[in-house]
Amino acid sequence: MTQYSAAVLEHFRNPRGPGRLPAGAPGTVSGEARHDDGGQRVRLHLCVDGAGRITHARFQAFGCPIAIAVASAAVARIEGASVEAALRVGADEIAHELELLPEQRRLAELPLAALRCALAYLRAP
Amino acid sequence: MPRVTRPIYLDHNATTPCDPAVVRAMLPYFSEDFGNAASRTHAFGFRADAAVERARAQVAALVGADPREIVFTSGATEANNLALLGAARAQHRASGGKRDHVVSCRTEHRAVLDPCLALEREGFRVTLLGVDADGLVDPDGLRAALEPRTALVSIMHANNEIGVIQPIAQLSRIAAEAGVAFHCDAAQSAGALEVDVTRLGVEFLSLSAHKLYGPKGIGALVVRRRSSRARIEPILHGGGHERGLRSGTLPVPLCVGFGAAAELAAGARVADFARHERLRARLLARLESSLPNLALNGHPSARLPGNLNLSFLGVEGEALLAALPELALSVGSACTSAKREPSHVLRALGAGEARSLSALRFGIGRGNDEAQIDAAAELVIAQVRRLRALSPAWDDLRRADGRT
Repeated sequence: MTQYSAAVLEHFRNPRGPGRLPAGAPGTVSGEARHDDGGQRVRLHLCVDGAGRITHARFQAFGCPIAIAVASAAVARIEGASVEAALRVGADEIAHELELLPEQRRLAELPLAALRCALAYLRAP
Repeated sequence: MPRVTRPIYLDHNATTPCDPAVVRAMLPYFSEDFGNAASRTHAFGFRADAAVERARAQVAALVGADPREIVFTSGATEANNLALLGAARAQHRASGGKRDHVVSCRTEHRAVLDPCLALEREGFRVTLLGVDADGLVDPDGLRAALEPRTALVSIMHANNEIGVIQPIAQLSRIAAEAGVAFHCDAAQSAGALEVDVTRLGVEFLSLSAHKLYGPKGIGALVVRRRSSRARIEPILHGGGHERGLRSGTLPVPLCVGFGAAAELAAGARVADFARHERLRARLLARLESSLPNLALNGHPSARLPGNLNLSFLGVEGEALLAALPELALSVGSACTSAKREPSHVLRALGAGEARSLSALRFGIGRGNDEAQIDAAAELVIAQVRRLRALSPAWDDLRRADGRT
């Protein structure tokens, strides 16, 4: 088994915002991103109010503990943030927070790609 | 949730603990009777030699072989290399270069597949037989693969990942009818199943001590004396130990430990089999009664009694493993630096990526009891439920199930 950083295991064991949001509610959008090898997937569910603030964020993730941890860490950063601020969250800061090894860093891109996917639905429903 | 201080060991297909009686048998041969078994000039050597020969007889007895047929090696990996490279090259040479073809199977251990690749680099052709969805080799497939130029067939007895037991006696008969030598890797099965070289009908058989509660670092290749097909040449050259087939000073304490473990295994095998099979059935029943969408990998009954390889669909094996620090288990698909390498064994069964990635291997052994199995089942059920609840793959699976 791979050895995981304490920060990864913390998010993995106590994920922030796991689950979904009631489908079809106004301002609710979802987006998913996946890696081809290994089927790692992150799906984000967002509720965005009229002022462009992400009032609720939830995630679903399939993959190794890192895939789950990056999704959890991303949700912790974007819930309550404006859409603009959420889009400024970088993979590097998530990778840094979770002490990811260089070869694990690309997993931090997953929730951010899912975020962009979800927000695209918001702009063009 | 049950509290355990040390993980429950459920990885007996990877290795087994050395039996304390085995360790006791080995101890005098480190510092007291430390002689070189090849020293023919003094009592130290004689005592070491006598100990090695006793061990050789004990190992031979476990598999129904003659003691003179046992070649001690550093383990099953070396035994497999010796059999594959040594027998294929010897056949090739004896046939004047005509026999240049080897047949093996896609679900073999890397210690067989990699020597096959090495033979390919030497100019041999290799045919790897497929298996059916349960992991079994089709005897007709072997018959069709054999050629007049075939030098060797190598098929394992029991698979290390999915525990599936191949019909070796049937397969070896087909090879014998074609005049082809047969090697069998019995690292997983010796001590767990009845392994008798005559009944199996093989020319070469690989053994490992640490899979049967003996020490790591020693194994053996059984080389049948009666069969004219058991032609083999060494891959290590040196002092001509082990009748010239494996040079190198014998590790006397390890030989003694292997012998002691083999004798214990011969006595415990029948009771162990029944007990491990019962514990496995208990584990499977508990998991199945609480968790839907499980998939058993490998044949349901033609498998090692302690082996259970299960896919927990919708959950990734590596994540499940990380969620279960209380259990010592193995995943079906190895993960190397965030890149997934689906198990070549599960792939050979035709299991898709989703099923391969969600596989865990439970290996039940002598140290396990009902309480451990129940605790393990409870932990696995709780963590599978937790991870499925946050899995988009599980969501999709449930939705697909709902539609049908």
